[in-house]
Amino acid sequence: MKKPFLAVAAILICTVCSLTAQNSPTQNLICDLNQYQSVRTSDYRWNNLLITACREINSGHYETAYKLLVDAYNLDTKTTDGSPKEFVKTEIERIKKFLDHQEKAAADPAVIDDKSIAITASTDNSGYTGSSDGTLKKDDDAVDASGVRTFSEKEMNDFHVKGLEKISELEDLIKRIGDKISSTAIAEHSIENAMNLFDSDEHFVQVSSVNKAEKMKYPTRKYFERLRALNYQNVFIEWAEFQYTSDFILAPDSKYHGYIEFSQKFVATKDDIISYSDKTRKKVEVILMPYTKTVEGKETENWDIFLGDISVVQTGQK
Amino acid sequence: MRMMLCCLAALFYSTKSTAQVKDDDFNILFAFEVHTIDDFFERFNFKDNTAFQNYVSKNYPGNNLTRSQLIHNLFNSKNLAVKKDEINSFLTSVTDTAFPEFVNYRDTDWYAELHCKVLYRNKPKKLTLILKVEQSPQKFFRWSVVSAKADFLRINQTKDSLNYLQQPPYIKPDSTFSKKYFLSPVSHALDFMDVDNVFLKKSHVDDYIYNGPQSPALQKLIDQIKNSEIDFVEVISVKYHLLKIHSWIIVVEYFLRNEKNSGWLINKLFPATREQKEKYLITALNLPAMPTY
Repeated sequence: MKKPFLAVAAILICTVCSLTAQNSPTQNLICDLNQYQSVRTSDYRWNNLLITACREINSGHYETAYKLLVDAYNLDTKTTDGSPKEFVKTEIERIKKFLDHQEKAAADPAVIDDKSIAITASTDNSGYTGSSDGTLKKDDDAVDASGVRTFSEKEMNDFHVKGLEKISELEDLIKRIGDKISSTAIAEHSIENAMNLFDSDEHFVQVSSVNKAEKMKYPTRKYFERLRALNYQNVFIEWAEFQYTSDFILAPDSKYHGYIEFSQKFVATKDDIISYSDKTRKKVEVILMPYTKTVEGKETENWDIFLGDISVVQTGQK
Repeated sequence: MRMMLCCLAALFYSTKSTAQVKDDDFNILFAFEVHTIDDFFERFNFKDNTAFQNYVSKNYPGNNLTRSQLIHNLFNSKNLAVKKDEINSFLTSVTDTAFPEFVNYRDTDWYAELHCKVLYRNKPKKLTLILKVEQSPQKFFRWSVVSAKADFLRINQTKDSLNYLQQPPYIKPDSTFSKKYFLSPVSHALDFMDVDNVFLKKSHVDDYIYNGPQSPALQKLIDQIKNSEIDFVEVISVKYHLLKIHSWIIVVEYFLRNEKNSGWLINKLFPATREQKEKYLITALNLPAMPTY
């Protein structure tokens, strides 16, 4: 059976990206995850390469992003039409043009000045503020007198991008878990992958409906196992354009906790007829935690995003 | 000025055809909804570059919102009990150029009121929990239970009422925050779905309680939890009491409806002196009569 083309549309990554999506060659290169999401296919490798490339662009690792996109372009991914490949080709050309310009700029001080102004302008678009007393701050990149770690604006943007990526990955896995065409082995593997997105096995998913008083709360693994029993066929998920992302707050476990709220339409078809559809809004706790990485014998502190508790509210059903 | 108000009214209250409502429900209405109390704070404080502010400037480039307009739209437009002249007086007060007033997550004088369903001695009962954000000296944050209300917690209905009434309010000594047993600092965003841990982790119930004075009702609740007399069922609804604004108390509640004026909105507004606020803490939130709060 030909695997259906799973179109996942529209994650507005963050306002920074949307406001700076139109880059001139002298500006800091920005990736709009919204566009990248819209060219996802049923090929997991393709999706991963694109999402990672987007993250690398926003981290300023343009050469790495370039290589990842070339890898994606060379995959034997089957797409329903040529537009996803065309998009990747355009992105490869855009990065190439940018890298070429950077090379020229290194030898031309006038261009360097222009670039530094452009970068300053783009950083002013950040929406993340806070105080050093336990809430993440955007401007500093240091440990303050009380030992509370603060992060740069770029790091903050990266954390929010990572949070959205993890949620997007979770939604992909949820689709795979509930998809009728997934074998038991694939579904079980997907459940394990989904569990790895959380910082522990002790989180819960609370499911409620605006039409019912009852709220059900499941441990995450049990929630995924229940999804497997649903056995949907041809699942389509559409994301609302808007998402709310919170600041991160330091909790007693020394991890920073924040959350993302978004809205989705879920449609399952059978024999080209809609068998089930609903609208949900999900709130997902995102947890920022440190880990140490040893590079060439030197330990460095890094931060990664994991998921926490999830609240799913059903606002409409057919 | 009139033109600006018309534009603003169109922005927040425009009506849609039936066909449009479906799409609006998913995209536009979702963007306009005040999603959480954090979103409420951001709009109230007129914070720059928030997701909502950027959404409006992107999709409605002609509308230049002011702080006063944005706060005005944080009121539940369906509640006619909140008088217009009081709203105007409130707006003038909080947007005063010399002394503007703001509300924040880290403020010490705001409370969450959780209406919960529990089983008390296997019988369904209603329980109201009052929670507040607590900050440790190490600058960790968590939500903590600071008070409780229920018919089964009334002192005059208990045999041991004298024991409670004759003693001064018990003050829980400051203790370091448990690294494992705590309510997430963003628990409010997920409708306090982790508050059942207070009842499940019976031997660690004290870790979920605010470090400070405890009302007799809260002491009773802690005893009942430890004695396994109570099982938590669910949180039914939440409201927030904000007492920081000089001379005002506001109560924020959630309204989900297919309108732009939805989400976490001001549903009650009281003018209040300092003394009235202290009385409000005791009568409305059942906090012990201690100035510490």
